[in-house]
Amino acid sequence: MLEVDDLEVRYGAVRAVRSVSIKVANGELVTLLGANGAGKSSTLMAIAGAVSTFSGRVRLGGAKVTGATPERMARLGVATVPETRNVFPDLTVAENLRLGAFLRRRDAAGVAADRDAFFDWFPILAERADQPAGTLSGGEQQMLVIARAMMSRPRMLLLDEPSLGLAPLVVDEIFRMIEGLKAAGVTILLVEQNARKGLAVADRAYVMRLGRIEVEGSAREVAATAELQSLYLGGAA
Amino acid sequence: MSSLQFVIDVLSLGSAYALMALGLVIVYGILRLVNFAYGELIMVGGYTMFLVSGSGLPWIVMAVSGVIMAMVAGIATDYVAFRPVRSRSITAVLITSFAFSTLLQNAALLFISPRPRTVPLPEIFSRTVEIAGVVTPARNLITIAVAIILLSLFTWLLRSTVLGIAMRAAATHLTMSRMLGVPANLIISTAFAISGFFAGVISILWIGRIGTVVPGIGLEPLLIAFIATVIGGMRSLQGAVLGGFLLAMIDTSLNYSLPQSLLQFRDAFTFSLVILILLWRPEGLIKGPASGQRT
Repeated sequence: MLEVDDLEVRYGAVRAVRSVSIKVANGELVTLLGANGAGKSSTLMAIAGAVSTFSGRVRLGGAKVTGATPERMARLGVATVPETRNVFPDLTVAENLRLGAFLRRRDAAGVAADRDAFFDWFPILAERADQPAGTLSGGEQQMLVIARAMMSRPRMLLLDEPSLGLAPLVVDEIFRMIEGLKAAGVTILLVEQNARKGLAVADRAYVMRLGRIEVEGSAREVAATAELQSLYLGGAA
Repeated sequence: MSSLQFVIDVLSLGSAYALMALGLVIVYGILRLVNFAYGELIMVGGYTMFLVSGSGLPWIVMAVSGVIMAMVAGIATDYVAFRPVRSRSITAVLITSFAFSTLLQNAALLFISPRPRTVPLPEIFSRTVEIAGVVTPARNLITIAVAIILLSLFTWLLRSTVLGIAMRAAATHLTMSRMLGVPANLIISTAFAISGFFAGVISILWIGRIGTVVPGIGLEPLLIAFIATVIGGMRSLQGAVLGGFLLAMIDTSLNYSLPQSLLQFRDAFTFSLVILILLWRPEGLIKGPASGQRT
């Protein structure tokens, strides 16, 4: 589905991402792990088209999409949930969801059906349908942005640190949501700092450090790597 | 009687000011850039009406073509002055929008005339009506009615259509809305088209007041719109409307209360009050969306 080859992202003179290559197969959940500042989010945002790539190639279903605009990536079926958890705070929950289905705006019946499905799954969103999204709690906002991304019926979901800043119980709930999406057949690239959680749901994983991929393999292999500890904690296992 | 007169004056002037401010703030809200060529959109509307009025076509054709040409000029502003340099630097956009504004004004000077041109409006604009003993020009009531209709229409557009929701979303976070598939160019061109629409309507109402069109006709509306949005809050559409009515109230109150000898200095009093409002509320009366960043 997604092939990233030799990707480099620069911010001025800073090389945030260096020769990163990632593959995500159809229906797979791949986790990109790493400490703060390792370049995970930059990689994800470059795939989404929100950050410009310096060099390298991105292919989606075999077609070259390097340097595509965010709206083009969305049209090609890649939905992105950035770590900043961007609900539109002044829009109501229902309006946020309606905007998520912007690309399917002609299909009113299908959009309404999907929205109701999410309302069944997360009754709290249904209760607050007419409230401004800015009044939701952090966890509810995270559910909303994931649901909003899914309203476009994407082929692939890019998730950036969905657990960031949430209470453990809420994190569990978000990960149950991710597992649910995976079970429904959605291809997912998940960026996580929480290695244990990220590996528990993943088929395969990559570990980034200082802008490079240091470890890659099946979730089990990566979990077994002694290096994983050192990559996060700088050697103190 | 006198108080009803005051209310009508404030409402009609405020309606015009609010429409002017909305046309400016709709673009500012999304791009965080002031379109200095906004006044010239009003000028384009005015001259289009002047040119069409010579053809002997009915009045409504003249008015509609004025509005349409102002919208076209608005979209052209995006293509000529904003789009080529938008992602590079704010300074560049400020300069290109000034340049486009100067270009349009000079085109009017060169190809039409520096002198005022009369735009014949239907007789109802110059008629007066009497309400409860108060005599007022009919154009004041027309202005109020137009503002009510356009504000309702605009509110409906923003609340109930997907495009309107997308525009509100883009005003808080353009990149996020792009990641949902909303094309940035569509949103920005729509904002410029709406801005041009308001400018076109303003040109009808404003010429209804002053009777003629000159190359510099847009300067005063631009200034009014700018002040109204600064008082009301640059990032909020409700703020722009509120600012327009507040500014109209200040102007009208001064008109009523200042002695004849001081009336020529009215603007100095107005601006002093504006400064006081800004000292009290530097961000304007209504703060607008919480987040929001430039692209």
